[in-house]
Amino acid sequence: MSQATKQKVAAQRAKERAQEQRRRRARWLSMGAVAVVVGAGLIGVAQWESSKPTDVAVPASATMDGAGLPVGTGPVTVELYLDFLCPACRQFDAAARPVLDQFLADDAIELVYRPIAILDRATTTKFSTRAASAAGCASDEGKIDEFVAVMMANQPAEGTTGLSDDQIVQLGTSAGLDGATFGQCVADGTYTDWAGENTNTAVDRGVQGTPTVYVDGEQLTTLSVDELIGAIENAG
Amino acid sequence: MTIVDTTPRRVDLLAYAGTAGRLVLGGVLLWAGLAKIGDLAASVRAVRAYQIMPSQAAEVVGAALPMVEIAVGLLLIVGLTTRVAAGVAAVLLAAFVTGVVWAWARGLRIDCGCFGGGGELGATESPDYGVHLARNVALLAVAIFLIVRPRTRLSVDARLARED
Repeated sequence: MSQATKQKVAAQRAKERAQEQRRRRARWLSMGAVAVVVGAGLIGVAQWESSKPTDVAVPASATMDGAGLPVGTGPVTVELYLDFLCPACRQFDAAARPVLDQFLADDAIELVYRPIAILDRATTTKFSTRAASAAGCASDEGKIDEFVAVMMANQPAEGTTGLSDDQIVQLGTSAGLDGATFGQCVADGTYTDWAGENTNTAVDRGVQGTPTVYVDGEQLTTLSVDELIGAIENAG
Repeated sequence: MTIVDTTPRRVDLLAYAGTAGRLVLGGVLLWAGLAKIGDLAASVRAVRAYQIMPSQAAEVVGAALPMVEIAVGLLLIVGLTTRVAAGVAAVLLAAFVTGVVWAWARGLRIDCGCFGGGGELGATESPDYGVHLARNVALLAVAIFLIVRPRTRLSVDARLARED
C-alpha cells in the first residue's frame, strides 16, 4: 500500500470510530430520556398513592354504600349529586325543593343527597370539599335537608374565597344544628376524606357534572321539575 | 449564467421551523402538565370521565400523566433527545385524539381536562370536542414533523453534535 492509501484508510477508520461513538451516545441518551419519562410517571403514581387516605371516616347516618345522606323513608329513591358551589345546583334546589318536600311529607320518596366536590378549584379555600364534609356532620345530627337548604340559599360565588368554616357553622346553627357538636365536626374536617372519596367514585357511575339526579337508578336528562315529578310518579 | 443554490437556506428554515415546533409542542405539554400537577385527584377524575378504561387503569394514567407531560415538555423545550421526546408526545397526542373521538362518539358531556379540572362541565357549558380535536391533530402533526426531522436549531442535541 502506498503512503497515501494508508492515510486514507486510517482517516476512514477514525471517521467510523467517531460515528460509532456518536451512535452509542445517542442510544444511551435515548434510553436515558425514556427512563426519565417513565420515572416521572412513576413519581406521579407514587405521589397519588401516598396521598390516598388510609382510614376514611364515614358518617354514621350514610346510606349502605357510604356515600349518600338520606332523608325520608319512602319507596322511591331520589338521588341528588350536588356541589355546594355549583350555581345550577342552587337553581335546581330552589325549583325542586317544594316538590321534593311534598313527596317527603307524603312519605313517597327517600331523598339521598350525594355531596361531591368537583369545584374545589373555583374557590381559594376548597369550599366545595369543606361544605361536602360539613354535610356529613349535619347528616349525623339528622339535619341534612335543612343544611342543604340553608347552604344553597347562601351560596358563595365562584372565584371567591367561599364561606369560611365559621360561616358554615353559623348557617348550620341557624338551620337548627347544635353549634358545639356541629362546629367541632366542621373544624376537625371529620369527613374531608369522605368527601374526596365520593367525588372520585361518582364519575364511575356516569356523573359528569352537577347536579345529577337519579330516580330509582334512572338518570334525569333535562333536570326540569316536570321531569322529576314524572319520574317519581312513574317509579311509584 | 447565475446558479443560485437555495438548498442550505431551505434546510436552515426547516431547522428553525423545527425549533418553533419544539417550543410550541413542549410549551403546551409543559403547561398542560403544570396545570394538572397540583390536583391529581382532578386529573384522575378527568381520565375516568372518558369511561374509556377500567377505573383502576384510569387512576394510574391520571396520576402519571401530569409528570410525563412535564418531562416530555422539558425535553422538547431544551431539545434533548428530540426524536424520542417527539415520539412520546406523538403517542400521548394520539391517545388524546382517541379519547376525544371516543367521548364525542358516545355523546359524553365532559370537559377534556386537558389543562386541569376534573372533566366536569357546568350545566350551561357544552363540550367543544371539535376545537380539542383540531388542536390535538395540529400538535400531532408537529410531533411527527419532529420525529422525521429531529435536528433543530438552538437545541442541546445540536450542541452535543457540534462538540465532536
